[in-house]
Amino acid sequence: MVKNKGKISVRQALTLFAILTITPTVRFAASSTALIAKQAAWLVPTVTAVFLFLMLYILNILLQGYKNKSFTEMIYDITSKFWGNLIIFLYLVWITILIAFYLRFYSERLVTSIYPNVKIDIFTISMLILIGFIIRNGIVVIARMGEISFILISIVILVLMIFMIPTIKINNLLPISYLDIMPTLKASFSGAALFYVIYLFFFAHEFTHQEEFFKYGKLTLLFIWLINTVIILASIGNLGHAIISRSPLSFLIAVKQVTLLGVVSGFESILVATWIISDFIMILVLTYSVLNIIKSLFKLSSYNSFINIFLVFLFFISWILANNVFELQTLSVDVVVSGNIIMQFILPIIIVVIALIRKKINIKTN
Amino acid sequence: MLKYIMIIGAISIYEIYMMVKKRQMKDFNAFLIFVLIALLASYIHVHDPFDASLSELLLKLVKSEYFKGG
Amino acid sequence: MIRTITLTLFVFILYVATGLETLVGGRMDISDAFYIATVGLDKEDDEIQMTIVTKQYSPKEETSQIAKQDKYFVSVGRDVFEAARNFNSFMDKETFWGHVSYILVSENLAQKDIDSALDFFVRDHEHKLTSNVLVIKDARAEEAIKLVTDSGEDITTKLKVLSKGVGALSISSELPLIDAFNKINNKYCSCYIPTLKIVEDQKDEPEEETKEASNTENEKTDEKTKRLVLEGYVFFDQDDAKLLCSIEGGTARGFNFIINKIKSGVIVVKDPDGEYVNLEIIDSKTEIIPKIEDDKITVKLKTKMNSNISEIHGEVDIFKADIIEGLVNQQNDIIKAEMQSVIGLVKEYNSDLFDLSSVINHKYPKKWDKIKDNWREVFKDIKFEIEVESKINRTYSIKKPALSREKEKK
Repeated sequence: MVKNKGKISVRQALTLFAILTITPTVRFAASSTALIAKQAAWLVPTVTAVFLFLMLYILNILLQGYKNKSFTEMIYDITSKFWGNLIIFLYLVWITILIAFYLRFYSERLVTSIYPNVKIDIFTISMLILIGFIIRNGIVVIARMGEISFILISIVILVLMIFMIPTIKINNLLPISYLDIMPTLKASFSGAALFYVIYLFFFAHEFTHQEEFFKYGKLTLLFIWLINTVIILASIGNLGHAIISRSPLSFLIAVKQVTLLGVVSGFESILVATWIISDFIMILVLTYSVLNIIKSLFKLSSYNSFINIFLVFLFFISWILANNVFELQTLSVDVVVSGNIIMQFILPIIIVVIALIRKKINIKTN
Repeated sequence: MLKYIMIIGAISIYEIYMMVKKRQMKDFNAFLIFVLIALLASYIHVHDPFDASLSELLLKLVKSEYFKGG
Repeated sequence: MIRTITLTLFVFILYVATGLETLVGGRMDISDAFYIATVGLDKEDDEIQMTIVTKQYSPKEETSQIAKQDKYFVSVGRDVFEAARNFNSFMDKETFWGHVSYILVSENLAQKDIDSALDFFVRDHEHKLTSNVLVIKDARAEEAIKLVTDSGEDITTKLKVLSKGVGALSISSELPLIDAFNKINNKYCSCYIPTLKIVEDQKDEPEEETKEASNTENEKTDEKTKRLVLEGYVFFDQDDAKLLCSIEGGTARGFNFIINKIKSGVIVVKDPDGEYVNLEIIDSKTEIIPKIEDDKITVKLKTKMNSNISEIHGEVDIFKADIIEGLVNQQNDIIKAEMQSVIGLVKEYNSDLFDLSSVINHKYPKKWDKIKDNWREVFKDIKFEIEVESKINRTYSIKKPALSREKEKK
């Protein structure tokens, strides 16, 4: 028990991963898939799930080969010091941009959906202050918060879905023919960009029960597939792909038109609240990853002194990132998706392949 | 700009004090780099020397459709 | 301890540094807000005139007459948003848009600008997407609102009652904002919006002597003889969202038959003696069946409908197989004629009024992919067939007509 102090189980880590996908899914999944795959968009998560399954399998090989080591240590071991530094630095830059991106999106969303006349600084700063306080308590606290949020978020989405079922029009979800195969495959790339599991590996040395990674990975996969499918089904089924693909907050407008028994409405506020929770967990976890990267890259004794200065830096970056929300949205589609695919899929696969070639790990360890 | 310098300054003083207290002075150099980066970021945020946001630069790099309107 | 002091200090600095301003705006006290329930939009030269009807929610509401005092305000702006904002310049309370139930657009404005008229309501974060959209035919929205409000009624409640009642005749229906916007967005089919019109009641001519005397009184009561009626639809072009045509009466019901929005209704047929028999529509289902053969599209509209006998005027015992068949045939012909009049419009305007594109897309997705780009050209050559299969199932508490017994005695 003492051995595991300050560590989290793989199950908890994967719960965090599941929450990490919710923020982008709610914002982005329905509209981006509807744009390409149109009425067949609800099939996209099924295709994407295959990618994720493959990804989890590969990462499992890596994790079993390097028990109790962080991703940075693995990279240093697999590649040379120079290449290791370069790759880790790339991750550092990319994840920082990603956090700034989500930080800005979180504030922009509040301004778009509820508070149009409020300075967005207030939301950004309050989030950063909260993160500054929580992150010092380490991964165990983050993981526990994650577990509670996970239940909360799942219940909210489930309840909203139940309210939305009566208004789903099957016609909006059909027809499905072989013509939809290519668009569905194409759209699945944008879905694959949401799988941030690799970023959790930067604190893989703090995982326990690593042998259970694949088992819980499959369960997480099931959850993510379900949430994605449900959100896309509900959005497109209610409003049709034409409106959904045009809306920057697609699931929100689908929820906005929910009325219960013709009387109770305004459920979007519940969604926005849940969304903020998932945003918070996401920014928290990614910041924790970055701090771990900083610690390894600069060979620090502790990252605690770097928390505040990094958060201040994040605040500026979130401002420098974009002039307006249109730039942010275009950035999301044109850069972040491909960037994520490179950093989350291609690079880890290359690293694993090199590790296998250099016989650092082998598939049997699985 | 001044308020940002003050905030960064205040944080730096506090963190350096904590570093001294916890005998982690070997992290000082790296910390200094971060302070400089934060100052640079605040300068870019306030004065916008490139006359473009990071998005604009990245989007121009990938030749985004965003600039092909009008 | 140090941590607590630092935190308190930090919060204090934050509190002072903001200049004690309200950090997060946008909140509103319930008592300080006007809840807008119905919005009317008119075209005023080149500007938009907006009329809003508010409903106050106050603790007194349930007991006093305040609830009845629905107020309406008028404002003008270059566009909808500006008109909406201009209310703040003279109203003594803030406006809250989250409770809008009806958006009335005058025909004059809908003529060209239905898309921009509705854009603000869909885009703005405060609005709900389930408000109903109606077009006011041959009148101004303000006029309609004034008519009802001046008579002491609440227009929102009135419209709700009308919307509920419209099912009895099935000559119109309700259309939520988001559906209207979805249809305007769709370039393959035309958008329809239910219409509201002001009808003047027919009054008996007063006798010669009293005519002059009652003249002044008549002018006063003139307003009261007008009333709002929810009837028919207007259609908008699928390419540019300009107003195409409007329908009412039988044609509107024919349209409802096609789009399956029939709830109930009355069909009047005649028995062999030429006396009226009233039939009540119980249900109806129309299938739109497209068929593509050699690149030629034929569309069959197959309607199955059930009705009950609700009133008999004559003396003949109509519950005989051949008479019932005769009634059914008449019923079929009436429905067919109503639907045919819609097809006539479809052909006249070469416009997909009832979303045939979606039906073809669902049945022939591959074919649709090829024809969708010149859908309007293809649409011109489509042949329509109407098939009505109706049934008269039953009558209610009494079977034979009242006078048929006396006949038997003879």
